[in-house]
Amino acid sequence: MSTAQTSPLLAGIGTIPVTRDLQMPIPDACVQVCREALDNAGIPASDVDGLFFTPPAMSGEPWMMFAAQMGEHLGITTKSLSLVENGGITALLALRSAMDAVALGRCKVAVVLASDARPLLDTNHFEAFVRGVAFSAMSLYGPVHGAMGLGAPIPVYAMSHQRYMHEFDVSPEEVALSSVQLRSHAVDHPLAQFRDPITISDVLSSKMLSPPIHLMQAAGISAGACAVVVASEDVVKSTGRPAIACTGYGEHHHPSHFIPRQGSITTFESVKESSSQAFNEAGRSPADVDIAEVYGVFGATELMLYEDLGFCDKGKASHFIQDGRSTFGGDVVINPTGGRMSFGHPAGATPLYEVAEVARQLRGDAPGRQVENASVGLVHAEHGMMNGSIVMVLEPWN
Amino acid sequence: MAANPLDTFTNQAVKVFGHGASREYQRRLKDDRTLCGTHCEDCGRTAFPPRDFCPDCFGSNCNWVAIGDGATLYAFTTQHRGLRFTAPDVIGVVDIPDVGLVLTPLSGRLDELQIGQAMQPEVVDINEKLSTHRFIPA
Repeated sequence: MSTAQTSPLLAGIGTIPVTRDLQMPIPDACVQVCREALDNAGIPASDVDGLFFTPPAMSGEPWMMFAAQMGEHLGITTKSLSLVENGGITALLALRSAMDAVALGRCKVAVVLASDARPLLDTNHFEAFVRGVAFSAMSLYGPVHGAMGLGAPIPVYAMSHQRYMHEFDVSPEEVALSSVQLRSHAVDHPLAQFRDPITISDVLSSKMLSPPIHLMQAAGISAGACAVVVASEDVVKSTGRPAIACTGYGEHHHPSHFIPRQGSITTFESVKESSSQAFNEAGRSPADVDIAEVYGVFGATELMLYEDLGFCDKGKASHFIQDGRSTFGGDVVINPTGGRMSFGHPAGATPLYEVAEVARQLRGDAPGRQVENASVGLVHAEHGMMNGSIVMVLEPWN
Repeated sequence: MAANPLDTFTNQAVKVFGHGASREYQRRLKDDRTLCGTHCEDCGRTAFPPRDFCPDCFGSNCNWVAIGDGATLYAFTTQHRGLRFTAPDVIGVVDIPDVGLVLTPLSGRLDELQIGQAMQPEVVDINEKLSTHRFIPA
């Protein structure tokens, strides 16, 4: 094994628009974003020696040996080929695996391929459908809570939302601001799923899912695919193309699943820890960040993240938004894609889409939504409420 | 075996995803009509969901104890379309002294529940093999 350490660089990006249903078969989506990312990097497929996948449909049917099948389908010979899964941080974990492989000298060019499609539940075959529902609930919530009948984890986030309003004296209108702000970003984003402007009144009159969460305060049902090329400094130098470096990385996992036994459900301890690690490593502070993509899948969660990442004081994120500090012309442009609630949330691919946006912005390649002079970016993803988090600080290389 | 396919498959799923302590939790609900956690004799903490070891100090000197005394309502909501119970499917988190926050189904009307109110546990039988805990206003 080589002991030579090299900085792994983000060299190319490929994306397809986020839509309710995937517009093509999963393998075709993976091939398309892979080819676009390699073109963007100026690196031929024959130079790729690592492939890192996420599960093609995280909440759907298992796809046995997906990475091996896709390696064959792409016709790419590799020294490292794997599939990575850990809830909502999945795609960032796959990216980290690729970066580690390049940093250790195991690979020179690794492609991270993240896709997600809605599960194709067969409601025509009732028994198979019910079996899927029962097994999904038990596998997601565990043998003690699995029989309670929780579906999507919306109620868990709803209780976090309720406590947030209770503990910090925040009104429903103030929480609804996050949806409205994010939608105003999505309106101008070519890849976003939900792009019609909305008002606070629209948000609070949309269907109630789990009180106090309304439909427009929840991430939608989405599909998408995204690829990022990670390459060594030598390879990037040879292409002469602009690349992005991860100057700070933080990861923290709290031993809880949805509800922590001890502690708060209005502060993401893992987000605070992982962001502080990433800022320390980068020698940066929240005030240095020009653009951020964060994993706020619900309206109040979005607000709590701004606070726990250090952009504003606890309980004050709605004021931060109201004062225009989280958008163009403000302190930091947070979620110029429209965030999870408006950009759309193909969960297995979401964090890689966040990386794609920040990388494009830092390369000045975000027409119609370019953040002026963006030089420090942040990407965040969490998995399971209050549990684990990864934060990356991204900056242009050289 | 219950005729309802959701029951049948949930019972199967419990076998696949269960562990020793979750089976004992079920047995105590079903046979003893008691909600239990596990108490560590070494570090003095009580774990829920229960384990056959202590997740706080990693010791193995754990005993089963009934939990729920002094519980207060920490948060609550409903779900629009639950998999198990019919609407209103009220779900909550209770704060149990010396145990911490516990996710649980609730019995009660959403508009009558209040953060901080006293709650107590009860056992709900899902089918002849499976039960769950639920909290009701004390």
